Amino acid sequence: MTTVSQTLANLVHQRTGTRPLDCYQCGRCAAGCPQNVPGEMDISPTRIMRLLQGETAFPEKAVEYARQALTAETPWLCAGCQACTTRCPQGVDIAGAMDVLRQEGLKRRMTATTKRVRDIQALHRTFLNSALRHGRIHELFLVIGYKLRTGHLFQDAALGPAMMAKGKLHLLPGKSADTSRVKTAVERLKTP
Amino acid sequence: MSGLGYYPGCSLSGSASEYDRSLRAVAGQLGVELREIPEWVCCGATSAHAIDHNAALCLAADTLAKARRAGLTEVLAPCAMCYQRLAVVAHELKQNPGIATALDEAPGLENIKPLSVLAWLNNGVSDALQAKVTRSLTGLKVACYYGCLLVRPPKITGIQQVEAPRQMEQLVTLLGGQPVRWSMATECCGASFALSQKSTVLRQGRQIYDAARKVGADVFCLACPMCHANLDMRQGEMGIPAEAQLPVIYLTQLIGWAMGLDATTLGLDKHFVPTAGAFAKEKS
Ligand code: SF4
Ligand code: SF4
Repeated sequence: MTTVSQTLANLVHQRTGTRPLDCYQCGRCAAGCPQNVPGEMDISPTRIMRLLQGETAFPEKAVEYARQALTAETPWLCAGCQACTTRCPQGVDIAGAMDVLRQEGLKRRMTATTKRVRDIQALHRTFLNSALRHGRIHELFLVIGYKLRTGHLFQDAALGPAMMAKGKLHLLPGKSADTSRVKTAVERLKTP
Repeated sequence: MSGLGYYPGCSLSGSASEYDRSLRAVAGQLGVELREIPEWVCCGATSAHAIDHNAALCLAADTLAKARRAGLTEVLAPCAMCYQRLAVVAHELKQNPGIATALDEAPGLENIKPLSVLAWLNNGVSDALQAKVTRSLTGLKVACYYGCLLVRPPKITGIQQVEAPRQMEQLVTLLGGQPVRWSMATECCGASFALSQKSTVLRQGRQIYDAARKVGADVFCLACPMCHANLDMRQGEMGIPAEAQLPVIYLTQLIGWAMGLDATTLGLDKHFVPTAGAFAKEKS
């Protein structure tokens, strides 16, 4: 097993230049979050910040607080709309912290495992693989790839033909673009 | 510098082709030469930054590098998502020179400036635009819908009144249209979940529709292909009967129409919610 040397709060600081510890729990991020509604996020963005503070403040319980933040559905149900980051009176980049939680969760194999979270992860993987492989996204292939990964074969089945009739979905891929430099650079950045 | 760098991105090359067509037509009218970045790559959209920090950085940085190689200093990215990703990475390149190094690029990539469609139209060409208006949109009540990424976060976009921006309203007014005051102009439509979490897009879309309807809007005007797909394709699923649905029109289509361009050139026939009715009103 990999040892976890970095706290999540430190990673957030490194990536975003802002600190979860600066949060004073005013709740504004939660109040304006479109996904912090019944049936969507399981814990609020404000609570996520509290967990990251606990991780720093209570070393003996750090692992447990980190686990709670990583295994919440919340990071995966975050729409990335940036409302929280824009509005936080303390300048905390909450949306940036959500990115860190998703990425670290995958790295540590510690994320929520509900069906919808797995669907969302499948979509991101399908999309990113396709972007890195072909350089551009062909929408029909993206949809097919996602459906094959998740088994949602009939969801929105009527929309496809309707889009095709409007000339909005093309059967054949358009141009692709060379991504060899991008792939090399990603590898290089991985191993500093 | 001759010509403006152009980054259509994947959506405008696919399902949002009418945004591409109408934008090119409007640029033509304004005498702006668009130079598509050779070999541009996908910006990574929501997915890259959600799961892979480095991939998100390198994808967008590579496109900026290709723009620089083509001798371009500004890149117009009409898709709100692409614009935001390019702008985030341009900002990141300032703090982290390692990204350019990993791509074997000389420093200075951060000086390539991504432009949103609003920045382009408001700052660069609005006088030329006004001179070209031949068909006023008089009486058309327009709900200007920004969504998230055209304006947020302000540290990246440089937008001043981030909760109540006016750039799109100014353009609509210049065309003779009547922007409505409404509450959902910068709310998220949930587009990143269009495929994976439909409850979100239907709920958000419905709230956005209701707010526009309540203040008597005739049409939505927007500049994001993801917002467009949600609002244009899913009003039926949101439970809105056909006769009450609101047309969803790209800003460049609205401008093109006011310039006298025809509906087919602008791709106004490609929408799910028919657009003809909205423009019929303004003729009478
Ligand atoms: S808005 Fe900022 S200070 Fe307020 S609860 Fe959220 S993170 Fe904390
Ligand atoms: S970025 Fe995510 S957490 Fe922040 S307001 Fe938007 S959906 Fe909520």
